[in-house]
Amino acid sequence: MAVFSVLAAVIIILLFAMPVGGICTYIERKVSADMQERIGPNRVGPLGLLQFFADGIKMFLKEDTAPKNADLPIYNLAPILVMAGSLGAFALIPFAKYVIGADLDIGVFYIMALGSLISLGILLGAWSSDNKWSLLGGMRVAAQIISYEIPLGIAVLSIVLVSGTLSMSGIVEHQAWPNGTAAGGHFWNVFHNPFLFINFFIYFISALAECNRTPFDLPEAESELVSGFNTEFSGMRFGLYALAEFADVIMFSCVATAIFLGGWHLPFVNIGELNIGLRLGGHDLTPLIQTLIMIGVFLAKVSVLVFVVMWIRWTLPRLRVDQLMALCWKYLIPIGFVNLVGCAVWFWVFKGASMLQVTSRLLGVH
Amino acid sequence: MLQELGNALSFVILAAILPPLILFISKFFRPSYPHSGKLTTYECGETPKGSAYVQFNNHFYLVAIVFLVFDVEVALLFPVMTLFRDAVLKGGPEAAQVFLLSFGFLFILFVGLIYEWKKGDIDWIKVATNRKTALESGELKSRKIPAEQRTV
Repeated sequence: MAVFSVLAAVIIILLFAMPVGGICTYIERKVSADMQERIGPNRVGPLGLLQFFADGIKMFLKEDTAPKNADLPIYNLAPILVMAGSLGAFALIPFAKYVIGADLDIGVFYIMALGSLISLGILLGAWSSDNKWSLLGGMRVAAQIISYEIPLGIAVLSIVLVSGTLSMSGIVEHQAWPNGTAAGGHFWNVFHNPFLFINFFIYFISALAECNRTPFDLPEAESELVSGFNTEFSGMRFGLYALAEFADVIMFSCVATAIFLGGWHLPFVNIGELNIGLRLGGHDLTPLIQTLIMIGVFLAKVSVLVFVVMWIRWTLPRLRVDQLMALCWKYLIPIGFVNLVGCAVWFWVFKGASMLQVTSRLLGVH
Repeated sequence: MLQELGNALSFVILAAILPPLILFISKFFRPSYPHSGKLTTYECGETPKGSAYVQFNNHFYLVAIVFLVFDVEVALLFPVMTLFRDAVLKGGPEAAQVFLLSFGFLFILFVGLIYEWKKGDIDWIKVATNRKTALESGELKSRKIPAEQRTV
């Protein structure tokens, strides 16, 4: 079993997180090019598809310089912490019913704890590189990430309140289509009640800020801080930061899919109860095909979210620091608190029924 | 449970040994010609002046303290919230207990947030945002910033 766990880690991190993080840089460039009526990368491979591979090789072969006055132990530790934080959380992502690296009972909590490793890594990297731009960027990123962790936590808290469990697979199980059987749940959490619907957007905005994506990319605002916290990082070290940023976006999209958008569940149909009836050499292929469909549904939802993140990046301008703080402390946190109380009241009044179940009960449909 | 924790740990360890491994392998392929110009701190092409550890806004510290309070609160509420579903579905007085316990706690902290807000600690730029308009409207007597407002 120990071998299995290491194998799962290798498969998910090396074959999923890192290549997808690389492909995301290609897709982002293509999306931005489309939005600005440019062509985008089209030289390496068909349609420029191997661009991310070429970028990786380029970074791999670049000279790795560290500034003379840098605090080298901390400077070397920083990218490791960032990678450990953003890739380690993939252990808890439920891709399908039994396809999950580690089904911890404290799932959501663990992901949030690992998420704060990223802010620590970025702050340490900024502090140790002995550069004024880095230091200012690092201070901004620390203030930004820790501020937005509170609305993020509150939004996740409302999910925990509805689901009654912290385990990721447990949260997904509750979101099945309510078809009257034992496997039925209360449909996607985002449609459970109006308060959770708003909390989904609070989660999404906070996740954007946690990943330092535009409109919250103040820590690396290239027009004011050169490159922010990674100014002094070159070659593969910079590549690790860039990869970690995309891995972070994918990770937060995966979590949003799992806890708000129903994970692998689809409306009107319960994939776990589908009967495919395909057999191969006496073995029933139904569980395998069900799992593949589940993974496909999950990844489709994740890619839609990642696309929205890119779309936002090339649409909205950057916020000012005071607007950033005001948005967090004056809007997201109070609204989040009110939603949490509202969510609890809804759950209590309707005995845990979702909007869908309440409506169908009112209409007399089952 | 211990097995699952081991799985999660193996992910973190693999993710942590990956960056040093990549850097080590690329050591055999990448050039290394350091000289003093390359190793100086980047300050837009100028010779760097003074230490990089400049003074920064004290506000960052305050935000960190407020964050600590709220984050501990959220962390404390997680286990309480897991009880709520079962308590409501089972019926009885436990649901009311969980509700009052957690939201009473939340309310006290929310009062703290409102105090912080009224005191102006959440505003990143405390007073001197609209100095020009304030000067023109006659609200501000002189161009000099009063001592108690010099927070930016």
